[in-house]
Amino acid sequence: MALGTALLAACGDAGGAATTRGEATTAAGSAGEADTGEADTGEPTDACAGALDPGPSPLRRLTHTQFANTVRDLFPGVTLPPLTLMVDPEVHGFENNAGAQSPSALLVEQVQRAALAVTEAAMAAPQGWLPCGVDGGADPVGCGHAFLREFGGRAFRRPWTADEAEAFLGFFDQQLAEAGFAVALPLTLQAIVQAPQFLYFFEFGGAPVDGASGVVALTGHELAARLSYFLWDTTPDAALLAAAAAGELDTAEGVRAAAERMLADPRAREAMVNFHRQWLDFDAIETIDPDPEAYPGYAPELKDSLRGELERFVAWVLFEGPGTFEALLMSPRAEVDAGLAGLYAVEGPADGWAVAELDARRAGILTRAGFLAGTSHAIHPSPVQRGIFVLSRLLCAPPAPPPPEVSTELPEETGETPTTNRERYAEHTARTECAGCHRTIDGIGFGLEHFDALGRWRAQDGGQPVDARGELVGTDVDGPFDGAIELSARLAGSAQARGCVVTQVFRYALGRSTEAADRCQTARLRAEFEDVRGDMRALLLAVVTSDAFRHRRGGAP
Amino acid sequence: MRLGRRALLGGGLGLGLGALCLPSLAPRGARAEATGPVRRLLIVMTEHGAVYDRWRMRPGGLGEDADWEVPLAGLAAEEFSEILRPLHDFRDRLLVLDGLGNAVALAAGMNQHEAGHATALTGTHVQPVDGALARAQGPSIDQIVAQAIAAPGQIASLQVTPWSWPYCFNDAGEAVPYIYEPLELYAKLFPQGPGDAPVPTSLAAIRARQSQVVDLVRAQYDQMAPRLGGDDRRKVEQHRDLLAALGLQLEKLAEIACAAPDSPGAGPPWEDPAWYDFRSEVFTTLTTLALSCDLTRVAVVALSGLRNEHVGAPPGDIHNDFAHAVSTDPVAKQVMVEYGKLHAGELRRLLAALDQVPSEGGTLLDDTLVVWGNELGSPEHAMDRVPIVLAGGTSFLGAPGRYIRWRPTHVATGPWGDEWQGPPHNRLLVSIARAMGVETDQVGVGSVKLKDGSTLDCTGELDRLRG
Repeated sequence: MALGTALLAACGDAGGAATTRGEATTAAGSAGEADTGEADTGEPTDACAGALDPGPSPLRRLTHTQFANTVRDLFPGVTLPPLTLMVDPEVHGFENNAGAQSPSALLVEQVQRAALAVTEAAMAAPQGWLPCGVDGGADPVGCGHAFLREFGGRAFRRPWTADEAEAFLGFFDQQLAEAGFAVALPLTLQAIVQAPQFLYFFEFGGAPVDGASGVVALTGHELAARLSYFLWDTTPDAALLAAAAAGELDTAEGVRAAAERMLADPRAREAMVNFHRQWLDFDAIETIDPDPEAYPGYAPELKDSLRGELERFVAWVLFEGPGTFEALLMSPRAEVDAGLAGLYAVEGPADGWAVAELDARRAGILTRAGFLAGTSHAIHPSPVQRGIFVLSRLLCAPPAPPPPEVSTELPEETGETPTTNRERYAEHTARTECAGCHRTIDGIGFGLEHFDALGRWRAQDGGQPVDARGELVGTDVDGPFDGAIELSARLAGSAQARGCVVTQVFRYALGRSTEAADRCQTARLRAEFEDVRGDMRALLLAVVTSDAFRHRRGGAP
Repeated sequence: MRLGRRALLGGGLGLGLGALCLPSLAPRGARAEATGPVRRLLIVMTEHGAVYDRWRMRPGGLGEDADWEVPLAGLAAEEFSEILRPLHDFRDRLLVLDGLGNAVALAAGMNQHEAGHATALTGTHVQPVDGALARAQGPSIDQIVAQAIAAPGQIASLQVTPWSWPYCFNDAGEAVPYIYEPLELYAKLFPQGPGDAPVPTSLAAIRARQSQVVDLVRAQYDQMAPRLGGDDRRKVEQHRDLLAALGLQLEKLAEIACAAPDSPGAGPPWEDPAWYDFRSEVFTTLTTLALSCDLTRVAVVALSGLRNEHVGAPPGDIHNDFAHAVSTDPVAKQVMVEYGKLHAGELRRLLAALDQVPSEGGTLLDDTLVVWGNELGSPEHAMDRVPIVLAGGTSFLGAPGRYIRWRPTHVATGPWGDEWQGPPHNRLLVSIARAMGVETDQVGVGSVKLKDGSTLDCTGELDRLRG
């Protein structure tokens, strides 16, 4: 899938920013994001003491991942075929932004074909989900109606309305009369999983909120869906739907309790890895192409290892480890397979994965081979890609795009003494029109020069000792540093970076971009995140209990 | 109604075609069952512009500062430019357009790859999106034409690519998504598969009733829409209307007899440069097949994703290390020349395939206006001298077989630099629209402001194109 969305990108990197997938292109509008206060580090202002405003709630749709997970869970015991559903356009790296979820002929047709494929597989293995035989047994009408009502409630994430029951059961009855149960049931199921109530998250809200004009609380079932698709990437389970029906999600405490239960469930692990995949761009690994002469030991299978390690690392940090943003940047704890063990020069297992402690030259995510390889070219690492990644994904301050028609050619390695990667970049970006931005970008990226295009440690580059001194510019932790550990530590201590984490989680949880109306919400969340010293699990709970998550503006959605 | 149109696509695309087991070729001149004259539009988009001095032709030393045209029929292969030489066999059916400018993209003030993608086929202003690729502000020419000429139940248009940013946009300026995978395109065109496997009775009944399912679903969208407002409502109504089209498509396509080739399979892995070759091959072959069977009349194939191995490039990034260095590095320049030549070769194979399918107008190539366009003018991001080649149904536009040169006449301004440009490409889009039967005088913007404060009129047809 990554190939479908990984494209030509920034022109700013002399080595090619192809795997940063649009980072530089996003920068034109980045000032707006910064202007909303996302880079602020302070407490909520007095202006935030006023009326509650949950911000906009644009209509969202199941992502391709959520569709696949949901049909998987609706048909237990069925081995489903691979489903081809388009990935919606990424916004800030996320695939669930409502603003980009416009329907298309391709999407509509893909959903129809997926529905056909799902029910075909399901009817071949009915034991786990259908209470009667595929012929309907002794009472096809009774079995069909009872099952469809129950199934429909799970699929729509709330009980059917009378109109819905009439429409779908009426269709079933008609098809049953004409073609029999084995045709009528799958046809009706196909209709259900193509229906708007399944594909889209309709939120009309319930009770008005006292003292907040025009704001309504989401209904229990609407909140259950938000929770479930944020924390699980799939449909609510019976317990969550029961909690919704019982009114247990009507309070922040009830939502917190539900979320805590959900975070303890294995489904949360997969979903949160998926969030990190998008936030930290694990997909960049899919398109690395190391030069065979420079990296003779490289085999494409290593990509699975690189990705697997990142997935295991972020899951460990969040669920078994300290759970903090600091750990994400600073923990030397890794899980490695044989291929990665060689790359990291640590003891590794002959088969499978094993825990390893990386040496003192490595720490968290910025020193892991997956990130380092994903921000490199065929031979040389890219300080530009690495710098842009940190700026846009960790500091929420993407740089402006480079001027067009500026040749970004890297000088050739000529002469008796080869220049280093750093020197080539420095020379190239020394020109006046480049220097301003590249001081900020490369100042970060140079700090990672000890890692080559495969993420291996290197003491020398081009016959010279590596110079990994860098500088942070325009952040709340400005100043010189030396090497990846100091860079990671600086970022781990940055309130701006923690504020950016809040922004990224908020965007993903709400399925939309942030805007000016969110300033107070995100400021409160940033303050809470500071209070818990960057505890990511606490942040997830803070977001789901926030006003923005539990309410919407009134009126027609 | 049974259209009874059968695929008559022959070989000729080379690599991988055998695996598709296309239907045998009827003798040239034989005619498929006709349903009346049909015009088709096939747009092939490539990237990075062209190395101009190796793309352009100057037969007889014709100058830069004049408008002129020459017939191509009399030119020998060696008189063709290096990049366009692979197309020499089709010279009497080409229109090579030299000198058009994409002024509206220049004015966008953003990465010009991105602006070029959003404007090349729309001619609209660019709409930046925070954190994402820019949109257009209106429909692309493929969508404009598709709305006019697609028959009810047909696939209105196809968009396929191995790997590219969007070129196609709907009326709201939203990107029309691509099909990226060969198997996905195959499943779309031939949902029943090759047709030689027995289908269980219940499955056949289920497939036959798909339009009834879609009708039920569409009614749900119809009932939900009035409860919503603004963009939410538009989204649901859009989905509803797309379902209506899908329902018709499910009914009508089942009636078209188009012999399905074998499934192309998944192809080589990404690491293998043949990954691109396979996709190019399958996409162009299946698109040709779709046009020949009248499954669709409009298609866009965006060819992007060449590797260093394809163009003899040393290690490095084609985009940043070579495309951006053509004016300063001879190696980089030659890499991008090879890049252009390779795409010209792909186009030649596509034209040859179209020309092997008998059709009412002679061959499918005669009935199909083929447009080879680009998001940039030059690999270093210029937006002037955008390389354009029209082929096939060029008779829709007047006398084919010409090389037409427009001199630069005005200075278009961009945020970082100015360019001398020729006619705006919007006028070509108008000409394409009219050639395909869409009576319009404007595609995209009506004018663009120039450096001297005057406005450049972007309406009307491209002059001299109709010969």
